[in-house]
Amino acid sequence: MLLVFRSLIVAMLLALSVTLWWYPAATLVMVEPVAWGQLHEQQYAPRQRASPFLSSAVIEQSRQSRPFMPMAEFIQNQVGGAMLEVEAGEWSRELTGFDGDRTWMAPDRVPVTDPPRGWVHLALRDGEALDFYRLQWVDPLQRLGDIPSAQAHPFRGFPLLWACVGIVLVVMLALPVRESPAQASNLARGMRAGLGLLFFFLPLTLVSLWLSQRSAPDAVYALIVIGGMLALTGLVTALIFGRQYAWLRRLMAGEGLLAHWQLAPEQWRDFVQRDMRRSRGEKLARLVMVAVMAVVVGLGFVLFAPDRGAGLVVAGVLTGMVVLLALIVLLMPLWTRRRLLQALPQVWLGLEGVCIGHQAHHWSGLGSRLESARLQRGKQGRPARIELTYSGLRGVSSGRGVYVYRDQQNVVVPVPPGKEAEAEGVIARLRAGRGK
Amino acid sequence: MVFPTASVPLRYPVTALRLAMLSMLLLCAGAVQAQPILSLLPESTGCVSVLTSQAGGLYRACGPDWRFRRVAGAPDALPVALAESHRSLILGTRTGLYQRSSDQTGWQRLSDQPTGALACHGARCVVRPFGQGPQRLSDGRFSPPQVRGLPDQPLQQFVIAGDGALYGAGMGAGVLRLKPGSDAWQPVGSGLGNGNVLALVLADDGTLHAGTYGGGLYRLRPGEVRWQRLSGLQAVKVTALAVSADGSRVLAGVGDGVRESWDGGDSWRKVPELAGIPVLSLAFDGAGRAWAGTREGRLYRRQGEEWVRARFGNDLIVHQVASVGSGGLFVLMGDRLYRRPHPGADWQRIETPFPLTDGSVSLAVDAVGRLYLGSTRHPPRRLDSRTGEWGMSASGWPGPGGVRALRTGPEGVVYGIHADTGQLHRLDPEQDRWTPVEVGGALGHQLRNLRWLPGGHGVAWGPNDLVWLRPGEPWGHSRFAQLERGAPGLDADGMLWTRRQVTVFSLAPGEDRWRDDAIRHPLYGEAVVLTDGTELALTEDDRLVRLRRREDGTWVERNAYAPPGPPPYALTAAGGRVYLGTLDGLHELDPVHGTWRDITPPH
Repeated sequence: MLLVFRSLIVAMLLALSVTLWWYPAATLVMVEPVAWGQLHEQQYAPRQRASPFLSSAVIEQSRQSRPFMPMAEFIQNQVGGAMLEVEAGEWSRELTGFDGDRTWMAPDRVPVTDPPRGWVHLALRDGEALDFYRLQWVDPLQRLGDIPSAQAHPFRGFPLLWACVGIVLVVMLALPVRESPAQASNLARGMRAGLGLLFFFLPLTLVSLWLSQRSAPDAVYALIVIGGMLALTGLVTALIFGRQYAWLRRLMAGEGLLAHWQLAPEQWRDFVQRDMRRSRGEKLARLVMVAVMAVVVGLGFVLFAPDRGAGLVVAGVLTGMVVLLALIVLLMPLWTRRRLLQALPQVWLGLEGVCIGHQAHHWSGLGSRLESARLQRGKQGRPARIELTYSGLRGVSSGRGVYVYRDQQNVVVPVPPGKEAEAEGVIARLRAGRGK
Repeated sequence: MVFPTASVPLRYPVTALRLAMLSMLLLCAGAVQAQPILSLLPESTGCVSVLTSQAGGLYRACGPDWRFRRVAGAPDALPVALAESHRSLILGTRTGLYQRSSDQTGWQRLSDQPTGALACHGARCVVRPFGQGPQRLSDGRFSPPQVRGLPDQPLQQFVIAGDGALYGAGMGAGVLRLKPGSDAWQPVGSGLGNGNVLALVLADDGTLHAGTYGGGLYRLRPGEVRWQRLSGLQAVKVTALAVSADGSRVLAGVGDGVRESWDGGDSWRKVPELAGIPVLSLAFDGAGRAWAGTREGRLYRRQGEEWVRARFGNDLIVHQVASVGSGGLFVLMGDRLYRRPHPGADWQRIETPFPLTDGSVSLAVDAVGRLYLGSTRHPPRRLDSRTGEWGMSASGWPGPGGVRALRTGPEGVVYGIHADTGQLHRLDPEQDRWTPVEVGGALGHQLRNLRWLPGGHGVAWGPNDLVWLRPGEPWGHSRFAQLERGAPGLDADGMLWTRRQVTVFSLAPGEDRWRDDAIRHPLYGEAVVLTDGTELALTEDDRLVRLRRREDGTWVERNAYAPPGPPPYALTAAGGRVYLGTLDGLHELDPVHGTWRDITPPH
């Protein structure tokens, strides 16, 4: 329970941290200096850059049909007849060192109390001199790329907060928790991962939903969709693995248990090594099949695609995919072996599944079933083993629909020396159970 | 950029987007109507030129009557600045720089760069094209000075001193000077507390005045090194400036009016006649008369102790002219109505029953010389010539509702189009009653305008309807979708023509079905009958031709007369005299010599 609780706390803390790190300020005022002389010039000078939509000749013709306005009229026209004049005073100090195109300010720092919808043109009087600015009240969500991050994301300015979050996270992750064999199993880990996924993405999705009431950018809507889907995935994963984890706990408590064997360390290491080779061999066979298909398809694209460049791209992508799969095929068995070597050298065998060290296999879930079970007696003094084959339903989505097929898994269960007769009985029970 | 043609699926959206953008640009381009007076130029000849922001909007007048006329042949480009060099006008426009030839017959294009600023003094000129630095202009040749020190902000005002020193100023740029022989611009004086200079004037005595946006008016006298702020001027935004030759009188446009000073800028007073009027340009002419041009395109002149409005621009447009059989004339000019009882008599201004700016106004005169006046907001009224009082024109006019076009037809019958219903009405002279004209049995046609063509042909048209009348026949009607280009005409063969967008239709004599056809030139528009039986007609290409009808019903051109001013034209004839209203006045034709006499009503 503590492990689950830790997963939830860590996931929610991470979600909270991400939210706070990214959370945008409510409103900011964009302040831009206005160089009326240059604006006037741009209005009438021929454009250097062409528009992608209109030929430069058309644009120039249109621009030339725009009557000339003297500067005062131009300003009047641009500001819509309203320019607010304020004394520089305190506000001018806010602009000290302002040498860029624009700056961003909190709304309570600008000398305009009634935020308008559009631009506010401001003339800042300092004695006889006037400097011109234009202000716009902006929802930072719309301009996250333009606003300095410290202003766009106000929570980033609290180092103490982040230090606290970091300490809590480290403490939570470093907290020594004694795992029972069931808690250390892949089923418990899957359940915790699902819960973590759920409790990380659910808050993010809810926050995104709330932010979407503001004029949010597309990324927020994307986050709602993707975050929602991942949260849902986490929920489904947690439910599936949680159910299997509950079965495992019952199994280890003796419910439905057919056999519980303790293996000698040497036999365990030997089993783990052989299981890795077996697993790798199976995966390599699949990899070869996929690689051959990839080569055929890739060559077809290179040779027959009307666009040779596109064909090469497809072939490159297929090659990359095969390389990635090869890495997985090579590394995953190593990872499994490492985990198994750290696990207790025990086997729990039940009617609905088996747990070998940390690795549990459950075949009584929806659509799963045990296909075969047989005892393989060891040759040349090697220990006997039970070879199980179970299958589960898998779905593949294509453009025309979802294809469901049965995916078979082979499991080898080590039998301690002297337990062959018990193993025979277990197999008989399994076969009987399968026949029900 | 290959994006617009990169792929077929993108082509149509991109084309649609292009069209939308183009439409927006054209809409924006077509929406501008105001004609602010950009510049007033007192010439060395004693005349005054006035530059408006309208294409070809260069006007000129000389004393003592100061009768402004549009300068014929001025470049048809949007003006920016005007200057005089060696008795020759130089005009800077959005599409180039032009110089009027010394014999004042034509314009020579000096450059195709859009002019941003222009100033001349004697033979020396300085031109700054938009997007570039200032260039010297001498004898039609440009020489960009290789100088340093140009500010980041563009210089928009230039003056040239007698010694050749060039002063430049601009919004955010302050005032700078380029001394003769120097290769660097340098700030002029110190203490200019506001660098947003909108107006810069150099008096003959060398005193500089700088009008700023937000800082008021500054003065720098010769020999002084520090600008003096003229704090007596209780305004901070000086948008226009003029200083008399002796420097004693200063005019400052302050956004919502004009202030004047008679003591070189120490004390100021408001000009009450110009209170609240945004003045864009000010000038003193050679005789010391002050002039002011406004954003609304009005021109004012100081006459004695007060400012009076000079007749200019829209004031001189003759919208309509109608003649009485006895030779009398009614003229709708600017926003006023005038009458001349008989040739040679003085013009009288007629008070109207409603302001002539209230809707689109039109007038007509019936067979007995009674004047009818109406507008799109007011129904037709009739003037009682004995009492001078206006009354309702006649019974039967569907009310409420104004009249869109009043015209005098054959035999002096008055026609009018109802402004709301678009229905054509005829004033029955016997019953003195308006009656709807039955047009081909069609109802609900929306007409907008009415015109009488040669040979007693009448046409009235609206956005989707065209009705026509041939002599001795009933009115015919055809429906055309989107008849925007309107204004049907008649050709020498007696065929009626009209345009619907890009297609052209013709109706041959004796037929009642319009054919899709190719246009034939010339097309005759509005026509009047002369006493000798010939007709004078305006052509589509703005000529005035005398037509004689052959026995076979076709027309032949006998004489052509060049109109004395720019369009739009208003034509009438009475007692063998022909009158033509133009953009800038009313003219009478001398048919013998083919010359025109200006008979524009005085102000």
